[in-house]
Amino acid sequence: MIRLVHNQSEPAPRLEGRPADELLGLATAAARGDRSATHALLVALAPHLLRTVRSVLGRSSSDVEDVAQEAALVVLRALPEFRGESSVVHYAKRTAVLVAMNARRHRSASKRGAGRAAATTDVDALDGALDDPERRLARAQLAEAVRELLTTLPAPQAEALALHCMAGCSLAEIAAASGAPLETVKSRLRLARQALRQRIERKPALMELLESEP
Amino acid sequence: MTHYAAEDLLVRARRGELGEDEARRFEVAVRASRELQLLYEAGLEFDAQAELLAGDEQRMSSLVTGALQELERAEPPRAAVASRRRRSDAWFFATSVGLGMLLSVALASAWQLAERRLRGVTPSPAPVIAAKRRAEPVVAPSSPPSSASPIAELEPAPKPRRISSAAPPTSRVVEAASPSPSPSELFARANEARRSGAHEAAIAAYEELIGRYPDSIEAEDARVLVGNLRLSQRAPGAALGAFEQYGTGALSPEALWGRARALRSLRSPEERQVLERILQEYPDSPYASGARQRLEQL
Repeated sequence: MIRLVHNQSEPAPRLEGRPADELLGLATAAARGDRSATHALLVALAPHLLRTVRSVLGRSSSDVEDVAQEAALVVLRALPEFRGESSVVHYAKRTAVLVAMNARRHRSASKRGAGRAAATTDVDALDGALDDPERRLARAQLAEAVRELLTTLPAPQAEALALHCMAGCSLAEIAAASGAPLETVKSRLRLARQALRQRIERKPALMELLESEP
Repeated sequence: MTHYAAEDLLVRARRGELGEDEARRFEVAVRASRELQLLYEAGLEFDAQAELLAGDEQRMSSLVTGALQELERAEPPRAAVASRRRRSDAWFFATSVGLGMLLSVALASAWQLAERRLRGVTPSPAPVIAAKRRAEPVVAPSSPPSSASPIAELEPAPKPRRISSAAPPTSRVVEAASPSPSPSELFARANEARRSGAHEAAIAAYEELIGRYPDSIEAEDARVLVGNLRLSQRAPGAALGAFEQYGTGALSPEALWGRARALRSLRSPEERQVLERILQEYPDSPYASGARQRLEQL
């Protein structure tokens, strides 16, 4: 059963950084090589990069900081090509999603090569307010299933799923950030969510927990 | 009224932006579709997991400093680029002069040859060889200044590393441009020492950075890091001094929290004021709940 939950964890605007317009000015100056603008832009984007990368890799991943820094560099190096089709924040989030998915795919490949077990549930994510521990565990397993799916889906579908689920982007925001038509984004997300359902339906216990009344 | 797609209703629900009618549509859509339900539940979980954690301010600061350092390492300072351009211009000028001289000599020789032919005299190659010898050092300089740089620019950048694991820069251009270590180099050295557990060496390196470049971005962060190290050494007085030197920036909540911890160790009544500042100025920081709990104890 679904209950409508207003996102209490949505960070305060001050922590989120500056408004998009101001970031565009900073991005333009940073693209010209202005060091203080680059610094200010990075400070504003750092929470978005860190959180997006953490969502894709999982909270217990030791690679989060390295990958977030790599994403920051990719954002900065690609700034001269940025034409403002999307907001700077969405542009940065998309970059972070792509860099983190790439890192995750590499990590999965090396794990398979080493014959190790598949990723486990992110138990660190269970810290905090456990008003309904079983349901919370089910959600953590669901989140892990989404992460696993990112490494198996075709890249455009994985990108749309990550931007929607992890970065909380709307269809229009995904379309603007990825440069794809809105209908294409809808189609990619539809295919991705079908794949998610098929994966979860193979885990009846998890499905039962998710469907239970909170 | 905007008619949102089902996926957008999920996003608006997560953001707490649904109107009354939209909330009804959201409930209907999610009850009717298991896929949408899964997407929504997963989204809620990712929102919960995306909360900032204790220490994230420091992580973000390292991210910013590390990315700037990597950027500088990959792109030589503008002074070095300008100097390379100047060398390139000089090389072009010298080459042009050399070629010009060669051409003049060749033309002169051709003229002499024509004259001799007219006079019935065999030519001598000597003047041309002499001209070549003069031209050699100019036409083929021992180190062409910019021939390698375009290739270097096309090569993929080295894999970025976090500042904590960053080795000192190896770029010759950077070294040539700055004989003394830059703030980012000193910061990287200090971080390396801190990570390896050499706390005294780390403090010394951070303090050298603060002394040499007190206004740099890295020095600001270094003050908080010194404070944390001093706290771990059970030297709250020294830690307090370090935290108090921090101005205003990304690590402000961290610096205030450090001050509160140092004041607690010193059993100072001023601790309360600092905790109240954290709650007032940074109510959403990861330190706010800790500050609230501590205030209840006081």
